[in-house]
Amino acid sequence: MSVKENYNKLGKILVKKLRDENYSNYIENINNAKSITREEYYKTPRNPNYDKEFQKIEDERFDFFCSLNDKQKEQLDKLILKMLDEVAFNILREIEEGHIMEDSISLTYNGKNIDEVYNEFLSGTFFGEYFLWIESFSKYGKFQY
Amino acid sequence: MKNIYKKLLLILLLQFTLNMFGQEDGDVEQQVEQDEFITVANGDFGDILTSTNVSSCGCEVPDFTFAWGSSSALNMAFANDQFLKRAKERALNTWYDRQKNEIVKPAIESKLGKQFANFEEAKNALFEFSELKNTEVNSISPKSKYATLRSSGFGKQRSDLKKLKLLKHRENEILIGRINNSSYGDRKVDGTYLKDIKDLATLRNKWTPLANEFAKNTASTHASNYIYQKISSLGQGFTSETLRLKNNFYNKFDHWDKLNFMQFLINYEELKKLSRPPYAFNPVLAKFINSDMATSSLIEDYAIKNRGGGNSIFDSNHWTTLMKDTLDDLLDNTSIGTSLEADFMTVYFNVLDVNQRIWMDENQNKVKGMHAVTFAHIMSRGQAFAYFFYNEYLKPDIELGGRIVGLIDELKIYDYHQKQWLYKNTTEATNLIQFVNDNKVGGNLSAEAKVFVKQTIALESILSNQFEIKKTGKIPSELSSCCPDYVYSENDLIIQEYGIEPIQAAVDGVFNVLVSSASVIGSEEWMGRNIRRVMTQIGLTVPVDIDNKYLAALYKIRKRDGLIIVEYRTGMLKSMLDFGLSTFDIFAFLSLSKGGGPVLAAKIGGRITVTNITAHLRKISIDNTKITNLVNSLKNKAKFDLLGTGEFKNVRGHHPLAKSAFRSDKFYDLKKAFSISIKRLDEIKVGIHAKITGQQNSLYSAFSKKGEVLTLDKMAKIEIQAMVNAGVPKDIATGWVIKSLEDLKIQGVKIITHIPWNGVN
Repeated sequence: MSVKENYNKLGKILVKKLRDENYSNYIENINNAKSITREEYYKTPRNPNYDKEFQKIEDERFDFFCSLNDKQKEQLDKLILKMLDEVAFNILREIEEGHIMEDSISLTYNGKNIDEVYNEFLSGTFFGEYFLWIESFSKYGKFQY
Repeated sequence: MKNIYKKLLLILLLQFTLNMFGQEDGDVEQQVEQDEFITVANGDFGDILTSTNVSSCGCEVPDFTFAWGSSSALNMAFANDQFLKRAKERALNTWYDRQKNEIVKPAIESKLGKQFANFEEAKNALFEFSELKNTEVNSISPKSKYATLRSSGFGKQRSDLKKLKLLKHRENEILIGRINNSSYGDRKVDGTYLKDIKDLATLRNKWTPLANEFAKNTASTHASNYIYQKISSLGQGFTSETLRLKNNFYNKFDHWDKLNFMQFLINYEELKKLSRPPYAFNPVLAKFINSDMATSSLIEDYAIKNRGGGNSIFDSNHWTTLMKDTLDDLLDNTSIGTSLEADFMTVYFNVLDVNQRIWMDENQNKVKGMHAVTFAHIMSRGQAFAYFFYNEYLKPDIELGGRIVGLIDELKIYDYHQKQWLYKNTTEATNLIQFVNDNKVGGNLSAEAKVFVKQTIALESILSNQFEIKKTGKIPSELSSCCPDYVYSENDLIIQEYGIEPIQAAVDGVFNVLVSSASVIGSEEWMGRNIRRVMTQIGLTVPVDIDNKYLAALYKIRKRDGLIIVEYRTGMLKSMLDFGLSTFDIFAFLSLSKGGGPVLAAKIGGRITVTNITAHLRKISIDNTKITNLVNSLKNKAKFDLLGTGEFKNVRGHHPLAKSAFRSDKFYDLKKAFSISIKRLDEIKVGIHAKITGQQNSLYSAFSKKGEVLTLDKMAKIEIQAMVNAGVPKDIATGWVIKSLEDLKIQGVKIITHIPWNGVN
C-alpha cells in the first residue's frame, strides 16, 4: 500500500471512529424518537430482562427528543457534532504533542511508527489534518464550532 | 673445540652451495678432499659424531639427512653423497643397512604418509609418486599443443563444411536450372561469389581441392583430438610404464649408488616441490640427472601410440564411397547460416536480403519458431497456406529484423547486449529507425543525432542488463568551489553521486553528449523516463506523480568515473543547498499529490526550468532583511502579551506561524519555535485553538486557490487574521506573530517551502 493510500486509510479510520460512527448513532436515536408517537413508543413490547435503569434512561431520552421542536433539534444536532469535533481535536492535539515531544500518548499505524504517513500531512499536524479529513471523508460536513 | 668444527662444517656446506652450478671436476674433487680432510680424523673429532645427524651406533660416518620443504635439498643430497662415499671406501656395511632400512625407508614413509612392509615396496611407492608428479608437470606442454591443434582443426572443419555446403546448394540450383538469382549469390567460396559459379565444371574445380583439404584436416584433427584426450587421462598403463623405466634406471647402479639414488630422489622431490623445470642440479650428482622418466616427449609419444578413436574415415589417401557418404551426412547436418531452420526459411521463402538473413542467424529461437509453424502449415494445410501465413505474419517480422540489422550496421554497433536489446525491443527499435530516417540530410545522419541514438541504445542496454550500484566518491562539479551546506547532504543519493556501473560493458566515452543531445528530437519524455529509471535503481523513491518532463528539466544523465549518474542541471545545486533543500524536497516541489507539479509550473511562469525554479526559490526565501522590514511594519500595531508563551517544547499549544510552512527547511526546529500554550488561549476563549486552526485551514486554502506565491508578509497577514477571526485581539495576535518572526531569524530559517494545508509553495 502506498503512503498516500495509508494516509487516506488513517484519515478514514479517525473520522469514522471519532466522528461519523458516534454522530450516526445519535442521529438514529433522535430520528427514531421523532418517527413515532409517544403512545406507540410505550405500546412497544418491552424486554423483561433489560435492566430497569437502562430502560428508564431510554424512556426519559425519548420523552426529551419528542419534546424538541425542529429549531431545538437543529441546535442539539450541532452541539453534539461540536462536542465530537472538539473531543477529536483535543485528543489529536495530545497525540500530536506526544508524537513531537515523545512524552505522551502516541499513535502507531499497522503496528508501525506513524512517521511515514505523518510526513504526508499537508497541515503538518494531526489536529490540523482532521479538518482536511472530515472535508474528504465525513458524511456530516465541516468542523462544527 | 666442538664449536670450531661445527663452524668449519657450515663454511664447507656454504661453499658447496656457491659452487653448485658450473663446477669443473677438479673443483669437485678438491672439495671432496677438503671434506675428507675434515671428517677423516674421526678419533680426534668425536664431538661431531654426537650431532643430530650422526648415528648413535658409534660409527664415524653421519646418517643421511633430508631437507624437508627446503630449497637446500640439493645441498643435503650432496652432503649425503659424500657420507656414502666415505662409508663405501671403508665398506661400512652396517652403516649401509642402517641407512637403507632405518633412515631411507622411514623417510619415504614419512614423505608419503604410509607404512611399507619392506624397502622394495617403499622404493616403488616413491618412484610412482615421483613419476606422477613428473607427469602432472610435463603433460602441460603437450596437452596445450594438442588442444590448439584440435581447436583450430575443428574450426577449419566447420569452415570447410560451410563452403562445401554452399557449393552443394549451388549444385542443386544449377541442376534445376536456377543459374541466376541464387539464394546465396552474395556468399563467396574461396574468393568466388556463388552467383558467378554457373556450371557444374566450374563448381567441380572448386569442390575437389576443398573436399581434399577437408578430408586431410578432418583426419589430422581426429588424431589430435584423441591424443589430447589421452594426454588428459593417461591412465594406469602410463604409470606402470614410468615405474618400469624408473626401475630400469635404478637397476643400472651398484648397490651403493642405488642407496645413493634413493637419498638423492627424496631430497630432489623436495626441491621440485619448490621450483619449476628446469631444476637446479649438482654436477657431482650428474649420474642421476636423467632420473625423471615422465618427460614431455615420453608423454606425447605414449599418447600418440596409445590414443583411442582408431582411424578417421578420412585417413585414406584416396576418396572412397564411405568417405563420400560420410561427407554427405555431414553436409546434411551443416547449415549455411547458423541453423538448418534459418537455411530452410531462406531458401523456401527466397529471402535474398542480406540483413534479413543476418537477423535470422542472430535470432535463432524466433526463426526456429517460425520454421516449426511453417512446417506444421505445410504438412496440415499445404504450401499455399504456408506462403499466405508467411507473407501475412512472418515476413513483416523478418523485414523489421532486417531493418534493425541495417540500423546496427549503420551505427556500427558491435556490443552483443546492445544488439540483443534492439532485437528484443522492436517498438523502441522502430522508433529509433524512424528517428534516424527523419534526421538524415542528403542521405547522411547528422553526427549529433548519431551520437544520441547510439547512446540511447547503450543506456537502454545497460539498464536492461546487470549492473552494480556505486558512488563516485566525488563532489558534484557544480560544488567544487562553493556550498559549505554540502555536509547536510550526506544521505542525498544524487548529491553523493551514486550511479550505475554496467557489469558486461563499459560506458562509452562520449556518453555525456547524451545530455546536450536531448533537444535534438525533443526527447524530454525519454530523458525523464531514464532519469527516473537510474534514480530508482540507485535507491531513490521517485513519486509516480512527478511528470518525466519535469525530471528532464532539472536533472541530466552523465558518465563520471565509469558510472552512469544522474546529476542536477547547472545552477540547481547551489540554490538548493543555499536554502538547505534536498532531492526529496525537490521531489515534493515536482509532485502533483503534494501540490507541486503543474500548480508550481503555473505559479512560476508556465514552465519548470532550472532558471524558473531557482528564481522561485529566491522569491520564497527568508532573510534577515525581509524579517526586519516586516517586523518594523507590524510592531506599531502590536501588543506583546507573552504570559504562557515560549518555545513549543516548554509551552506546547499553537504555533502562530504554521510549522508546516517550513517543513522542508533544514534549519527550522518546531520544538524551539515560538508557541502559545492552550491554557493562555483558553483564557481568551475556551476551545479557541480549534477555531484558530480551522481559520488557518480556510484562509490558507483560499490563498492557495489564487495561485500566488506565499511570501513572509502574506503569511503573517493570514496568521494574524486567523487568530482575530477566532476571537484573539488583533494587537495581541500581531505581537505573537512578531515573536514568531523574530524566532525564525534566530533559527536561521531560509525558506517557506509549503503553503500550510495546501502543498508546496
